[in-house]
Amino acid sequence: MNNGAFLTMSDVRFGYPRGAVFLGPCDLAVRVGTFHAVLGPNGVGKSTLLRLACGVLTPSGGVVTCEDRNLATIPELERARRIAFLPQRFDAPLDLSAREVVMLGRFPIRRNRFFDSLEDERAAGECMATTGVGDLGDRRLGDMSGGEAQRVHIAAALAQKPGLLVLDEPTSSLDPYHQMEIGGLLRKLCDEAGLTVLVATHDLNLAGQFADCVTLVVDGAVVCTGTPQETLTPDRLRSVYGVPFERFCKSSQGRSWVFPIPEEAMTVS
Amino acid sequence: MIFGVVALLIVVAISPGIGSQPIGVARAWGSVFGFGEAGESSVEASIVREIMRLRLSRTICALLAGTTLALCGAVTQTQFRNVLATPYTLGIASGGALGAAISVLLGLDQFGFGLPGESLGALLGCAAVVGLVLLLAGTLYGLSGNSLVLAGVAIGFFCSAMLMFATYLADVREKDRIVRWMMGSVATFRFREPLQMLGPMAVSWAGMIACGPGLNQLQLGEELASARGVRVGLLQVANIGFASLGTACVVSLCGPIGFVGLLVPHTVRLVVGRDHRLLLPVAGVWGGVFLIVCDWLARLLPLWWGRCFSGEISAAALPIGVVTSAVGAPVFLLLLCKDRAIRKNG
Repeated sequence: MNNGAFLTMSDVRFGYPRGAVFLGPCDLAVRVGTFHAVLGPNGVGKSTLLRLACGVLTPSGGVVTCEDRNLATIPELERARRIAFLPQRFDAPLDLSAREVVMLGRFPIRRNRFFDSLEDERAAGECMATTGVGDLGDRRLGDMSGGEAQRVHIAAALAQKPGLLVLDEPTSSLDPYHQMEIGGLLRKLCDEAGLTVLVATHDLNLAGQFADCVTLVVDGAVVCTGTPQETLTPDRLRSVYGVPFERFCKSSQGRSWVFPIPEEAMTVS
Repeated sequence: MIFGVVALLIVVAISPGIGSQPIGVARAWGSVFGFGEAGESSVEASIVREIMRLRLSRTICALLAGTTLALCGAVTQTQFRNVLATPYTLGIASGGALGAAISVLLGLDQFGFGLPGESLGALLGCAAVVGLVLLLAGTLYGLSGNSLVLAGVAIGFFCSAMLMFATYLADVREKDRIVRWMMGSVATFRFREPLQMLGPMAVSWAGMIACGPGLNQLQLGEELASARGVRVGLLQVANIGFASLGTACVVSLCGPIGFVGLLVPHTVRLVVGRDHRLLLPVAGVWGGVFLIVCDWLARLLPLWWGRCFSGEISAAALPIGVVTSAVGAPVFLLLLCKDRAIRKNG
C-alpha cells in the first residue's frame, strides 16, 4: 500500500465536455481510517474532485487508485462495495420511509436483488442504529427534519459496507447543533468503525475540529494538504478566500477556530 | 398482489358472460371445455361458441394491452422523473398513428403478413419513431431525461401534423378507418393477433421487471444510482427499449388507448409505494383488470343506453379509448383528492 492510503489521486485532470469546470492536475492521498476534509471557495471543483474520487466521473488524465487498483478498471458494483458517495443534493421521493432508503443502500452488496433477505434487514437495522435513526423506521423522508434525513442517508451509505465514505457538503443545510452532530458522527465512524471519510465542506471550523487532514483547493488545483493547524492559517485563508481571517485559540483544549473578519470597505454602514 | 391476481382471474372468468347477447358464464365456458348443453352440435350451441370466441379474444387482447400499458407507464414515469409521463411520451403513439394512416391511404392490406394494414403500418411507424428518438438523444444530448422527453414531444407533434395532412388527403371511407383506429379498440375476431403479440410483449414485461431494482436506485437521482454501481446509461437505454417495444405492440394491436398508462401506475403507487419490485407486477395485473372492465363498459353502455332511452337494443360497442378516459379521469380525480385528505389529516 502506498503509505497506507485508501485512495490516491495522481496528476488527475478533468474537463466537462462544455468546459464549465476544469480540474487539475491534482494530487491527493486519503489515508486509511482518517477523516479528510476538502475546502475551497465556490466553484473551484471540490464536487468534481469528489465525483472523481468515488468513480462517478472518470478522469480525463491521470489515475485514481483505490487500494492499489486503478479505480477506472474496477467494475461498478465492486467499486460501490469499496466507496459510498452521498451527493450534496439529490431529490429522493419524499414518500420513501427511512427503512426503504437504507435498504436501497444494500443494492451493491445484497445477494438477491428481488427479495430482501434477513441479512439485508439486519444490516439495515444496524446501520440505522449506528447513525441514531433506529427508531425512525417507518417515518417518511418528507416528515423528517434535515438532520434526521441526513443521518438516514448516511445510514444508507453505510449499508453498502464501504471502506471509504465520500460526502459532498453533508452539513450545508443544517443548524449548528446538527452540524456538530453530523461532524461527531463521522468522527466516530472513523475512530470506532475504522472507516475512511472524505468530505467537501465550506465549514472551516467543522473541518478544524473533526478532520485529521485538510486539503485546500483553489481554481481546480490542490494548494496544500496537512493537519488543520498547519493548513487553516489566517494568511493562507486570506489568499484562498480573499477575505482577512483571524484565529482564536483555546489553549486548554489545544484547539483553534478561524473567522472571516470583514475589511472596512466591506462593512455595510 | 394476491388481491390483484384474484381480481384478474375473476374478471377473466366472467368476461365471456358479458355483452349484448345474454349467454351466461357457465354456458360460455362450457362451449370451450365441452360440458353442458353447448357440447351439442345444435345451431344454438355453435352460436354460443362463436360469441365465446369473440368475447374471449377481446378479453385476452384487453388483458395484454392493459398490462403492457400499465408497466410501460410506471417505468416511463420513474425514468423521466415526471408524473405526467405516459407510454406515449416519446411520440410512439403519434408515429404509430401516422404509420397506420399511411398504410390506409396506400391500401397496404395485402402486404400485411396476415396483419391488418393498420397494424403493420403502426408497427413500422412506432419503430421509426423509437429509432429516431434514440438516435437523436444519443448523439445530440446523450440521452438525458428532459431533452429526451422534449425530443419525443417534438417528434410527436411532427407526426401529428403529418397525420392531419394524411387525413386531409384521405377520402371519406379512409378517413373513417383512420379515425376509428385512432380511438383504439380491443375488438378482434381471432386469437391469432393477440397471441402473435404475446411473445414480444412478454419480453418487454420481463425486461421492465428486471430493470426494477435499478429503477429503485434511479429514483434517488442518476448520480447516487451510479455511485451505487448502477450502469445508468445502460439501464436507461434498456428501459426505453423495453417500454417502447411493449408500447409499439399495444399500439399496433389495439391503437393508441389512452390514460391506462397514467392512471394505473399512479393509483397502484398510492397503495403499494415506490418499490418497483412490487409496483411493476402489481401495476401490470391491475392494468389488465382495468382494461377488461373498461371493455365490459364499452360493450354494455350502448346496450343500457338503448334499453333505457330508445327501446332498441344496440349491439355496437363504444371505442375503448373513450371509456378508459371517460371513466378513468373521474376515478383518478377522486383518488387524488382522497389521498390528499388522508395526508392532511394523518
